[in-house]
Amino acid sequence: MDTILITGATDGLGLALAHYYRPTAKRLILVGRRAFQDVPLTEFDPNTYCRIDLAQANGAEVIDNWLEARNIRHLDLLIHNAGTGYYGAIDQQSWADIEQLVAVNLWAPIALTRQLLPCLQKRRGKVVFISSVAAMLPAPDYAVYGATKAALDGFARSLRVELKGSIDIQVIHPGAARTGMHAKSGISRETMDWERFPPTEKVAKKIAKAIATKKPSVTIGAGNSLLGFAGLYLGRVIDRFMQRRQR
Amino acid sequence: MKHCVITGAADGIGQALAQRYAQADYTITGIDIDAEQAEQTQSILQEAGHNASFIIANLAEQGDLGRIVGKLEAGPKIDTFIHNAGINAVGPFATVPLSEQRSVVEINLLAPMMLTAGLIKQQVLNPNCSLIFISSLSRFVSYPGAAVYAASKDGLAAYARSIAVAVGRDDIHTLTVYPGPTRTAHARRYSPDNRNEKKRMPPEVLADKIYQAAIARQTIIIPTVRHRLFALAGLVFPRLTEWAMKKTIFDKLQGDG
Repeated sequence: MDTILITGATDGLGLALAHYYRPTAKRLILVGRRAFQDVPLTEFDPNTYCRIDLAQANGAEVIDNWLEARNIRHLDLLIHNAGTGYYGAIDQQSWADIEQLVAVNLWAPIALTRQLLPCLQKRRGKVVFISSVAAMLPAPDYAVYGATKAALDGFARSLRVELKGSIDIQVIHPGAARTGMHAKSGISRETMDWERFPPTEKVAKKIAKAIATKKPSVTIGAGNSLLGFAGLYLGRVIDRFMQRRQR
Repeated sequence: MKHCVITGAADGIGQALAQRYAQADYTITGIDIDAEQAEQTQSILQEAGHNASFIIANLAEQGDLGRIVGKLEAGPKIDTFIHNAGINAVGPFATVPLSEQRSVVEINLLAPMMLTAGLIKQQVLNPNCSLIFISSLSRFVSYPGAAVYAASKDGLAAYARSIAVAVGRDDIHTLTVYPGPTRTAHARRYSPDNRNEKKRMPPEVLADKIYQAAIARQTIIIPTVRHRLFALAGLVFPRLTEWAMKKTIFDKLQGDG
């Protein structure tokens, strides 16, 4: 891989993916929200780190301009990894939170894909959407999050058909990993038994392996694959089971 | 008298739903952006002796969403809320203006999620209320030439599924509808080929199927056998349905451009 762009690269899976690709990528562009001085890692430098809040409306243009200023006009791999979560009852979530989730998890990947299509087309590049196994399952405590991830799936499925032969489109569904997203979403580490989740390095390695394949959609981990399969093909059984657990 | 609220009720499937629920003696509150069309639909309903009023609002505007929730709070509690309003923006993803694509996300997905949260929070739903979400057959078969529309409808279906589990404990019922092409102005506007329009399901037939499914408290409905088979094919042989959708829709859309 020659030129790779990863969003949400200062933490969690994005950072682990950055570590993974670092030794082999000719040029690794990292996009994140944190200020440059707060990113305490040697692999971030002003010429490879683009700071932007993807919730802002013109985020895609800002990134494109940033790339243009550095004369980067081609991309081999674009990984939409940035995502934000929310955990809690439906009526507890404010409209601002709902809007923010849709902006970062769904709109930013759509707009950025569109903005960078010319760069990707030059290299017959690949776009990877990091979705979630939650997209395939009912998610009563994070309904909006699940909806944004399912929407990414729907977007990718249709776009893949449109761009066949010019750009590859892939969706990856990881399960939970040891990232900071859970805590930021409002769920404590004790409640969810955080330690049982696989470490980000391990998940990132599996994601990178999946990216190296031509498969249009990959679920990471055998347990998650089973869950995803059940969610898709045994829909009603799963829904009733979940409903009973809620009571 | 029961109360039914329908977004996008001035025309198409929404109008047919308004008529169907009015026939079943519901008071109808329609929500629509098109004041002129809304007035027409309102008079049709009123002249037939039904109770109907409209809130004119743009679902892409958060201020309007707040106004809708406020008005509904002041009215009678809701027995059926139908998230029917939807727009499309067709053409290759690379060429359709991004602003249009954004409106698709706002109206088809963001607004229903915000309204649902607002209605539950303000407790304007009756116990045993039905929440109905109009998704699309594209959930099963993809929709090249309308990738963002497909995204919004997949998102809406997933949201409805999560909501069903979350509010099931409060006896609120949810129904997700996956219609194929319907004989409406919406379909005519967005389809690349309208020669077979007569094959599309008339909106009043669809509206009746939705009403019956809601009464029976079904959770999912794909309205015709043909579409059920197509959806099944999409699950089992996704490549096949993708190819079919590309041939019948995307290639023709590109031909137009």
